[in-house]
This record gives sequence, structure tokens and C-alpha cells, in this order.
Amino acid sequence: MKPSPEEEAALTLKSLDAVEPAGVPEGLEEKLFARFELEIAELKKTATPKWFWMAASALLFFNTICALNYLRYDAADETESASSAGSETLFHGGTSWY
Amino acid sequence: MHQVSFGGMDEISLVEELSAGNRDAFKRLFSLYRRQVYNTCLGMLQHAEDAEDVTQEVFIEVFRSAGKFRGDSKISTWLYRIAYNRCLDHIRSKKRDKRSGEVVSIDGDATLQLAGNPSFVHPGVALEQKERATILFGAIAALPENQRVAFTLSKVDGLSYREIGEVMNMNQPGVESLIHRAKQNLKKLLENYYRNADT
Repeated sequence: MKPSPEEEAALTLKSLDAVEPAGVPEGLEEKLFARFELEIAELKKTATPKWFWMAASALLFFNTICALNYLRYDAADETESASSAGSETLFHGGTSWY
Repeated sequence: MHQVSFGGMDEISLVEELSAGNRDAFKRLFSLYRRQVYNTCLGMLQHAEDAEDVTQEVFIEVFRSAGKFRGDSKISTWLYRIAYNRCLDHIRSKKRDKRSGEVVSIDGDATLQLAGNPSFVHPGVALEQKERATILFGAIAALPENQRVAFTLSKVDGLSYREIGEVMNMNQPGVESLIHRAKQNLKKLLENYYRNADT
């Protein structure tokens, strides 16, 4: 006797229990590793070279030192001008700085 | 954090090595997960060549995004998530191209039409089950997208509801409900198919 549509449907749904995991196709590994190598090569090409970052860091360090020095001497100059302000009359009474 | 050993390496170290471009780490990851990723793609795409292409894309994306992996989930869940997103992108782009979006009848006489690739036979199906499995995969392809994915991850890939929830970014009751509806819809589709095939 032919099974009813309901029985056929149940049998078909049950057939999924018998599905085993499929094996990976041959050649996939080679293709993928070739793509991986291309990917690495591309990354190397587009990556900023190390020397650039080293030079940028050195420049930044040098700039910071210069800025700190400038601030230090500027502050020292202002202190000096303030202390010499009291002798302004005497100073300007003279002919010149020289 | 998940501490699973990969030949003396835990998951985080493996991914760190991978993000540094270590070829051995990439090979190790591939040999551990190739079957899982390929079978997920095959179940979702129902096309051997497409599954092969998307499997490659998944592993390349894993390499590209390795730096972002924080170890909050298992590597396998992370891989499933990438595979799931890649497969959906592939299905959507194919639908846009109208190459496989059209519904195809797997039996000219049947008025019910099942979707998917009518010539697809899952390589893991036993010979005597091939006909039934082809009909079943056609019915699975006719399900709404999220029901199809949840059902495939559960029944073909054997993931738990919790894992499916992590992959699909859903809670567990949501996954249960999706799979329940998928089973009901499949039953209806198949019963209609056999009823129409009889007449």
C-alpha cells in the first residue's frame, strides 16, 4: 500500500537524520592558501613602513624638547625683565645698551 | 574567555598569532574548522561550488578580523557567525542578480513548487535517501530566511539552541520558536508536495 502524503512527509523529514557531514572538496586548501599569501602580500604593500613611524616619533620627540626649552627660556627672560624693571630709569638714562 | 588547547595553544594565542600573519596558525585553524565551515555553507547555500567559494571568503575574513576577536565566545561560534553572515550576503546578492531568486519546480507535474537548487544533492546523503533528501532540501530552501538558517544550523550542523542564538544574535526562546515554525512549515510544504504529486 502506498504511504499517505502525511507519512511520506514524515519519512522525508526523517531522512535528514541520515545526513552525514560532507567532506571538504579537494583543492580548496591550495586555493585558500594562495589567497592567504596574496592577502599577506597586499597587507605588506599597504602597511606604512616601520622607518616612517620611527622617524615620526623622533621628530615628535625633538619638537617636544624644543618647545619645552623655548618655554623655559621664555619664562627665564620674563623673570629677568621683571627684575630689571626697577633699574629702568638708570638704564634708560644711559646712552644705550651697548 | 574560552581556553581550548590547539596543539599547546589556547584560542586567544591562536587568534593573536593569526592576526600577526602567522601561516602556521592559519593552517591550524583551517584544518580544525574547514569541515564545519564548509558544511554550514553547503547546508545554507545548497550549491557545492558556491559553498567552496564562501568557505574561502570566511577564512580570509577570519584572518582580516582576527585582531577584533576578544575571546568572548568560542572560536567555533565566531566562525559560524562569519559563515552565517557571508552566506546571507551571498544569498541576497544572488537574489538581487535574479539568478536563483526564482522558484523552481522540482517536479513538473506537482503544482506545489519548492525553491532552491533542484539539482542539489547533499554529498553526505546515503544513496537510498537521495531522492527524499533532494525534496527535503528544496523544501528547506522555500522557508523564510531566518527559519531556514535556524533549522539548518540545528538539524544539519547539530548546533544547540544556545549556540544558534549566539550566531544569529537572538535569545533561546526566539530560536526555539523559529525552529518550531520551520518544522511546521516543512511538514505542510512536504504534505502538499506529496498530495499534488499523487494527483
